Order: sequence, then C-alpha cells, then structure tokens
Amino acid sequence: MPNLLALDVSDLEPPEPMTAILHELQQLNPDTALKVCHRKRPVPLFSFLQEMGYAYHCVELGVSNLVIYIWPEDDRLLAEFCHQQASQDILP
Amino acid sequence: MNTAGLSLDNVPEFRIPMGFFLSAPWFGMLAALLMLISPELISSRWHPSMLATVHLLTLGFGAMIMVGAMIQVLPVLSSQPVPAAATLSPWIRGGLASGTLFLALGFLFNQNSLFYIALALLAGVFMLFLGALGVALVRVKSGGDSVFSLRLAALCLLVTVLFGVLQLSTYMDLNWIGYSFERTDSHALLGLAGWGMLLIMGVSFQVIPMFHVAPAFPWWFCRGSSALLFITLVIALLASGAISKAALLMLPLIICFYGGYALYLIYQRKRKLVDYTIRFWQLSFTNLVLLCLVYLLHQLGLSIMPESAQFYLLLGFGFGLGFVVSVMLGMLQKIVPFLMFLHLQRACIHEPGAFMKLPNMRQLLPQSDSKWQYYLHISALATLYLSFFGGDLQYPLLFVAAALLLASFAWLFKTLWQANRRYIESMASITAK
Repeated sequence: MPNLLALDVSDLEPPEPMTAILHELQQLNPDTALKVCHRKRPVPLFSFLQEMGYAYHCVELGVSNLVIYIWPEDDRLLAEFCHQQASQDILP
Repeated sequence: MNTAGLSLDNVPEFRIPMGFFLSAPWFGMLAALLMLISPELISSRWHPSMLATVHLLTLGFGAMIMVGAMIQVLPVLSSQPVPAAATLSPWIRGGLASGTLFLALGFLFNQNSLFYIALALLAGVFMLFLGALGVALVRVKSGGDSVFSLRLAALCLLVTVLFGVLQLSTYMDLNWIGYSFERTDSHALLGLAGWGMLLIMGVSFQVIPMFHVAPAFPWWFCRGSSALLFITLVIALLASGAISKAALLMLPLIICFYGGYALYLIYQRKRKLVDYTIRFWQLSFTNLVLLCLVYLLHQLGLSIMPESAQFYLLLGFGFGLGFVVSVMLGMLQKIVPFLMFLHLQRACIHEPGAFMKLPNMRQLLPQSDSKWQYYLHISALATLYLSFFGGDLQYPLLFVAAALLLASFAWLFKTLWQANRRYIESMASITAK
C-alpha cells in the first residue's frame, strides 16, 4: 500500500527547503512518496532529484502555493499513486 | 513532468562568478583612494578625479559584480545559461578590469592614447557580454517577471555603452562624429535609472520573496513598474521641453513607488530574523525613497541645498553608493554562501556520507563579517552625506568618508576571500576519497 509523507517547507529560507527535502529523502521508507508544500518552483532541486534517481510531479495550486510529489523513479506504483493524489489536489 | 533544461550542469563553476566578485572590491578601493588623496574632486562633476572615481565605481565595481552575478544567477533562476560563459568570462573580466583602469587613467592624465585603449577594451567587453546575455535572454521561455525587467535592463546597458563610446569620442578629438557633451546626462540617466535600476528591480522581484519569505510582488506591479520606468526613460531622453520635464518628474515617482512597495513587502516577511541582507535592502530602499522625495522637492523649488551642482552630486552619490552599492553588498552576503552551499550540496549527492561534512551558509560566510560590512558601509555613507552639508569641513569629512569606504571595500574583499577559501577546503573534503 503506497504511503505519502508530507513536508511543508513554504516558511523556510533557502537553502533550508532543499536541505530538509534531501534529508527526508534519505530516510524515506519503501513504498512511500514525499509530498512537499513549497512557495516557489525549486529549479535546482529538480536537477538534484534527477541525479539521485527520483522522479517528481509539480502542481501549482496558486500564487506562491506549489505541491511537489517525489518518488523513486523506478517505482511505477508510487508514480501512479502520486499522480492520482495530485489530480485530487487540483480539484476545487 | 518537465525536466528539460533543468540540469545544474548548465550552471557555470563557482570560480567563474567568484572571479568577478573578488576583482570588484579592488576597484572600490581604488575609487576610495582617489577620494582620499584628492577630496577636492567633490567641487565638480567634471573634475578629472571625479570622472575617474565614478567610472571606477560604476564599471570596476558595479558592472563587475552585475556581470558575474548574471552569469551565475540567470541559469539558477530561469534554467537558461549564458552561452559559452566559461570561455568568455576570463576575457570579459580581464577586459573590464583593464578597460576601466585605462579609462580612469585617461581621465586623470587626459591622454588620448589611454582613451583609445579603454574604448577598444570596454566596447569589446560589452559587445561580448551583451551578445551572450542577449542570446540567453531571448532563449528564456518561462523566466517570468524578472526576465522581463532584465531584458529592458540589458537594452538600457546597450544604449548606455553606445552613449559612453560617443562620450569618449569627444575626449579623442573625433569631432566629426558630432556628439555633444550635453548628452552626458543621458549617458548617466540610462546607466543609473535604466541599467542599474531595472536590473535591481528584476532581481528583487525574485530574490526578496525567495530568500526572505516575503509576499511575492504582484505580476502587474512587476511588469507595470518596469515597463512604465522604461517608457518614461525613453520619453525623457527623446522628447524635449515640457514633455521631457514631465517625464523627468515621473521617473522619481515610479522609482519611489517601487522602493516604498518593496519596503512594505520586506516588512510583511514571515520570519523576522536578524539578517544583514535584509538590513542592506532596507537601507538601500530608504535611501532610494528619500532621494526621490528630495529630488521632487528640488524640482518644486524647495531645495535642501543652495548650489544645484552640489545637489546633483549628492543625488548621484546617494543613488550610486546609497542604493546600488548597498543592494550589491547585501546581495553578496546572501548569494555567495547560497551558491557555494548549492555547489557543495551537489557534490554530496553521490557520496551520502559527505552530507555530514557539509558546512552551513553561516559557516561559509559568518554573520559577524556581514555585520561589520553593514556598519562600515553605513558609516561611510552617513559621513559622505554629512560632507555635503559640512561647509568648511567638507574636505575633512569627505576624507573620513573615503577612509571608511576604503575600509568597507577592503573588508568586502577579505570576507569574500575567506569564504572562497572555506568553500575550496569544504569541496576538497567532500570529494576526497
């Protein structure tokens, strides 16, 4: 059963959001994806994730309100789960 | 999922912008030294030492920092690198440094040959930089409001350089070009209110909300204020008579509104921690708003100084040192350790154990260094302002202001040098097998 771990970094100053996200990813359990609430599109993080073997899906919910789902790129079940969750986020 | 073009591989090595940042304080120190040994330069904007000082500060310090920052920050913010940055950077840095020195020497010794060398070097440097930057700014697909302002700023820089080249022609007896010295104000206005102001506006739209968890600038404000400033600037330069005068009154109103609104957003930030970058932002915007108000009062006949020439020198120094240099000093305290941390963090990715060795930003550039930078700069600025009202004490006060300015730029070099050394040591420790 896929799980989701929520992390809100929207009140942190750079580079604290990236540090917190990378810290959580290192301790992430199998079958778990990370759901990050952020206020900016973290461009450098995306390239880090690629290099570390993670996939991500970023949803803009409003001005300064983003949600990023992160999961191991070879886990298809988690990928599907995250996209489902993301589509629910977008619903009014 | 769109990951195209988001690789950090696009970001040039940190030594490239750091080379610019480590070169810039030397020109600040040279400018301060000139003020120290010839305080009489304050008597006129046309004094050879004044012309040399102004160009050491604007080209040697200001442009050096701005060029280095653009090369590194543009790819981080917009995923679009400045093409061939690694190859071009040493040429741009070398040309800008030597061109500025030859130009300053040309002003001091009034030698045609020095002006010819400066002209060739600086025109070449800005053609290279603007060519590469122009390609990057055209290629950016989703740069947002910041890139909109940066494009306008780059356009202003191009015309500022063009005016600068024409300005030099008058020193080199190239009268057939038909350029008139009356256009000096256009050169200064484009450089300060165009290139400098629009660049800082564009950067502030991104970095104030990002680094300080402040509310975002609304899109209409970003686009509207940049576009209005640019259009008003064009009208002020191309029109004449009452229209030009009206545009020259509009300019400070727009700038004042931007400065006031930026101060308000900074006040609205979520985490009110002690941060010297924030203090530098507050100092620079307060300067900006006050200068605009003082200028508007002057235009309405309520001047704070009897001599118009001295008043415009005060405005120039206030805008240059009080606003632009304050912003740069503040940004360096934040951007340098941030970019260092980003590069170090990246080096840790493939060595999970190395995260333990990762220093934090405060260890790379300690807060005590930023604090001293702030107090040295604000003391220099306060003494400089005071010198304009010092009467017989003007030269001694300017001497003290120059000494403090020299200490401030020397402190900046020391801070950046030590931060760079810590970065190199940390990188070596992280990547050591």
